[in-house]
Order: sequence, then structure tokens, then C-alpha cells
Amino acid sequence: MKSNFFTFNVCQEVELPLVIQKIQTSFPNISIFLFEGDLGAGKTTFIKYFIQSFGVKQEVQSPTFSIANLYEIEGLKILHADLYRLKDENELIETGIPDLLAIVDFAFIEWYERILPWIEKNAIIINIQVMENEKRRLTCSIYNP
Amino acid sequence: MAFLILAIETSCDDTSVAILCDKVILANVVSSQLDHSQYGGVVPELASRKHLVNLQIVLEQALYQAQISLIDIDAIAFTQGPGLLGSLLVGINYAKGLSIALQKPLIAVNHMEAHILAHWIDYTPELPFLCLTVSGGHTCLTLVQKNPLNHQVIGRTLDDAAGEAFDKIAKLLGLPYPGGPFIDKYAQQGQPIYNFPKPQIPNYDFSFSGFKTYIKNFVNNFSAEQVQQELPNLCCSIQNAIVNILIDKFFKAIQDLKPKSVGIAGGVSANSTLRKKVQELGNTLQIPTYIPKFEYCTDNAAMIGITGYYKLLSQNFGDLGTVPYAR
Repeated sequence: MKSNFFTFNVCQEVELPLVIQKIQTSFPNISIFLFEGDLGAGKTTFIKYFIQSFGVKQEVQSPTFSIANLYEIEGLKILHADLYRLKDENELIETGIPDLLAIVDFAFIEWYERILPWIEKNAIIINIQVMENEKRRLTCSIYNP
Repeated sequence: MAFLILAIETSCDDTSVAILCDKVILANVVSSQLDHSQYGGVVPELASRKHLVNLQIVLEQALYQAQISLIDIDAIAFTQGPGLLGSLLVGINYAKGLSIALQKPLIAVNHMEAHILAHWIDYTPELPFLCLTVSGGHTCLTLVQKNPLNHQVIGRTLDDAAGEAFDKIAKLLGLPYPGGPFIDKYAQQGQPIYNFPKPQIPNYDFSFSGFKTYIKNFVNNFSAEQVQQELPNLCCSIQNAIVNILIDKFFKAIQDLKPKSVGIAGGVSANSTLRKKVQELGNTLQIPTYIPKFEYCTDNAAMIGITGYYKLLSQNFGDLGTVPYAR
């Protein structure tokens, strides 16, 4: 089940840390964030700021090719995955991502549809829409499995 | 005395096994490029990342090509990381099983270092050696000093890899995914008539995400028919722009660090413009420039084997407690 929650209008990339702070404050118990939006909408850019907000200093690189990137900071395990290149459920299982989901503290997943059967607790779906003049509209909704 | 090294690579999409006699490649079998005619039997189509299914078939093919038996092997090299943990575990555990059964030592290899060591298969670059590694998943500049295993990464992408930029921009142009090679193909028929702003990134780092978004907006000004019509010029301009971003940093690093030789590695080194411009750069700066054979540039086990060989010479062995690392 998916229910709309709230929307942010973002004009510039520099506003992202503030938006992320608001999302973290509004959903303190959420650890899984699922992303939708076209190629170039800014999914990876948004996640980069989110992961850096935990204090991760290393570069948050795109996981499109590697499929999953893991970060560790002060005992926190953070998963950043992109399921774009996976063709079916079996491929997803073989990546080990469903197993990782159970042990990480935070998960950020792009092209997430295939992993929904493994999501057992409430998650946030963040939809990123490209508006006029390169602005973005972020719509957060709760996914309730 | 020569060493026979078995090498296993399962870090990402392809399953690969190579067999080396010291530095000589006796076999280098990659699941996606299996030569069905060479095998003495029926080989099924091998799917991406099905390492557990693929490994036995690829190994048998490698032994067949090298004309050796498993018991002749002196050491087993495998990719420890970076890569997908699930994929790495298959290769690592397979290697450990072989190590126990054959009573031969293990050698753990870093996949990114192996891309660079691929140069040592056919050449012996003079050190310090500066390498630009460009693939679907990686873009970095590495300085190799003192010995072939002494690596220092001096620059990397802050977001997308160059190969990924090619693939995703190809998709924006309506080409199939992954479409890097299609961009190269259309670029041959076009002229670089469009200019795009260069990302301003400090030091030796790269960024392609903003460039991708810029192209997306740029292409939005065209109708679908115009994109079709202008495809050669668009591809040529985009390819030139991406290659120039890479070459500019490479040039800057060569000027600053003054290596004795340079090279490129990774799957994108198949790109015709990149090859041409790297060679031109080497000629202009009068510095020896190496580009490994294409089969050693994409993900392959031969590069794991050559790295294993140098680690074996320095008695740098792994053990049954070796665990994979994702990054």
C-alpha cells in the first residue's frame, strides 16, 4: 500500500541537505528509502547527499554498474543499490541484496520494484520529477508492506 | 621453474577463468564470449551473474584450451573485491574448495589493481606508470610506483563512471541500453559540431552526472526526428566531450607527476576516440603509451592471473579465512 505524504520543491542542489534533514526528522523510524524518477532526474545525487549526511567521507558513486555499494560509518551499515540492470527475481536473489537488506541499518534503492516482496517494514518512496527550469519536485509517500 | 596459475574472476557480470604459465596466458575464457566451436561438447548460453552455473563450464573450457589438468596447477588466484558480495562469494568459495582439494596456495587479488596489471601481460611499462582506468563501473587515475603492485589512486569519479555516461546518454538518444558502442559507431559518421560545457572539478577527480543531465536537456530541444537526423553529429560531439574530460585530467596528471610511461585500462579503452587521443597525447609528450589488447581490458581472469603471478613472486598469499570486500 502506498499513501501520499508530502512534497518538496527543490530549485537548486544546495537545498538538498535541508530537505534530507526534514525527511529524517519526519520519519525517524524509517530505514528503507525507495526511489523513482527518470534517467537524469537526480536519484543518485539525492542519495549521495543522504549518505553523506551520516558522515560518510568517501565518494558516493553511482551503483548502476556495480548494482550495490556498501558504506560503513561509525558502526552504521548503509546500502546503495540500483536494480536497473536486473532482469528477474532470480537475478536479484543472486546479487545477495535481499539478504543485505536484513542486515544493513539504512538502504537506498533505485529502480526498486523488484525488491518489494522482500520489504517487510514501512519504507518511504521518494518520487523525483523534473519540473520547468531544472527544478525538481520530490514527493514522499509511505510504503506499507 | 615455471608456475601454473589458475585465476578466477566473478566480481560483476561475467564469469571468467584463466590459466597462466608464469606471464604467458594459456587460456582466458569469459562467459559472455565463450567460443562455442572450440569446446568439445554442447555449451549452453551463459547468463550474466549466474556464476554458480557458469564457473564449472568456464573452468572446464579453460583447462581444455590450456591442455592441462587441474592437478598441474601451482596456485589459485581469485578476485577478492571490489564487486557484488554475492558474486564474489561464489568465486572465493570455489577457489577455497580447489585450494583444499589440490593442497595449493590461494592468492587474493583486487579487481581494480588487476585492470592496471593487465598492461604487464604483454609489456613491462617503465615505472612510475600512470594509468587511466575507464569502464562501465569505474573511472580513476592510478600511479604505479616502485613495483607493479604499488598503487596509489590519485583521482576518481565523484558520481557516474565514464562508461556509464556513454550508456545512459545512448539511452537518452533512443539507442539500446547499454549503448556506449553505438555512440562510437554513429560518431564515426559525424562531426563534433556541438559544444558542451566541461564540468569544473578540482584535482584529478571526474564527474559525469551533471554532463549527463546537460545532454538530457540539450536533446529535449530536438524533436525525435531531429535526434534521428542529427544522431551522427550528436554522438560525435558527445563522444569528443567525454573523451576530452578524461584526456584533460590525464594530461594534467602527466604534467604534474611526470611518470615514465602511461596507459589506459578498462572496457571503455575500446572507444576509438579515446584510443586515438591517448596515443596522440603520448606522442605529443613523447612518453611511452600502452593500451592492452581488448580482451585484457574488459573484465577477464587473465588480469587476475597476472596480478596473482606478481603476488606469488612476492609471496603475498591469501588463506581460507579470506573474505570478500564490496569496495
